[in-house]
Amino acid sequence: MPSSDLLSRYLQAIGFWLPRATKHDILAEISEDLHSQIDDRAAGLGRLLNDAEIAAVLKQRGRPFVVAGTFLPQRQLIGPVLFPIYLFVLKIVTLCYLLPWFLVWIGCVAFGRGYLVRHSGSELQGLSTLWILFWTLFGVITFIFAILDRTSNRAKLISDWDPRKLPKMKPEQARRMAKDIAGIVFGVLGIVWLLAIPRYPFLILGGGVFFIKFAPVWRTAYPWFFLICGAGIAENIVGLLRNMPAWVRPVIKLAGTSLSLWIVFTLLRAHTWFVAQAGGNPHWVLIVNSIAFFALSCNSIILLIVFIVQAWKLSKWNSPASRIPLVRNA
Amino acid sequence: MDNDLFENLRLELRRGTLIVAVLARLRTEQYGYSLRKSLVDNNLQIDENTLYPLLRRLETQGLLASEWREEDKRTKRFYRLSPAGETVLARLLQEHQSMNAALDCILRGNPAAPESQTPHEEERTNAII
Repeated sequence: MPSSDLLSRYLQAIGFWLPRATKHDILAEISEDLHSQIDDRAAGLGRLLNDAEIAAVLKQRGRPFVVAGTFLPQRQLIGPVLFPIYLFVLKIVTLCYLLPWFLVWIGCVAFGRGYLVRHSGSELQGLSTLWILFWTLFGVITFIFAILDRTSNRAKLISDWDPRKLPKMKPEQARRMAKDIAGIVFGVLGIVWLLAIPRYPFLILGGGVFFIKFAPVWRTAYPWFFLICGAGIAENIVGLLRNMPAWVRPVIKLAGTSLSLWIVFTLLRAHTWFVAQAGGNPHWVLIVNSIAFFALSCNSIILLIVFIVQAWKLSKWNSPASRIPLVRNA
Repeated sequence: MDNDLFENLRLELRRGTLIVAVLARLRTEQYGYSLRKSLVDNNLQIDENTLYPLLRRLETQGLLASEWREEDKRTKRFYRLSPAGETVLARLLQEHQSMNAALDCILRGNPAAPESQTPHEEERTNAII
């Protein structure tokens, strides 16, 4: 009989997704329900239902795997208790391990293709290695957390904690002040260091001073380095001053980063940063220039990210939420 | 988008009520199809794919008892409230009335709320688990 054939096929398709232990019981109940529905409709129409009408009943009931799914226990790889920690670990791994590697790859593709081709065959091969690394890490972390989720005592994890054992608040004011003072001291030291470089180039070139020297491009960039140091010092001084409008510091910070970015891009366009001393080995100069190129490329990418983050923070500095004190004094 | 949001909220709102309704209806023994029809007759729409898994879950939790029995030449699974289910239903109805009263107070703008029914930490823990 065609109608029972349709029903049998439907039940068989549902049964495929059900666990063996409860399969027959569930199918019997679904079958009974469907028969009741079909009988009811037939009674209403005063005749037996045809194939299309039975198909409509089954279609209304839903796709077999969806119907079967409603009878299965809700399953999750990582439950809500461990999920925030899992997400945190994934973020840390992405930010501290995968992102730096990705940036290095971008730097290599953008500025040092020769290097990349020499070491990994092609740009795509470098990316595929990174891709495999990403999925491997993702898989391993997920696997570990899935095991933890099944083996850890979740009830204990949720209830067994003491608010008094939470980490103490960092003395924010003192910490900021120490940071600002350190920033000023290092800024001044940086200026002294910059002033000394033309006279004592070994301060930056080290032992290389015997076979290389700065290319002319540094002469253009040199005065701007003082301005960057000055911006850094100004930002820290503003941090120490009270009653200063809140926007001043982030604006100075952003201006400093913009300037650094501009200088790095200017330097990148030069292609030659060091030249050989008289009688120096050109092979060494080539190596040093390659390293400088790589360092400047990475630097430019990092600065660009810093610039975007700072600009974003600046756009949010005066949001209503940022002005609400989290804890009110009693 | 707004419809999806409403649908999700509606489902959340209905979920608990459906359990109470099913338990209350099963104070009298019924099989799945007749139970669904009686709920629908009382303007409580419930999908078969929601009802049958719910019945099984409630049975696993010990709130319902069931047995296969022949009726009108067909074998059907009859469900009824278990003694544990009766206790739980009484408490759920009390909770439901208390929530309704609280909601009424809120909707009327009356600040005097009925006695708090905040669940305990342990219950919340169990709910998460």
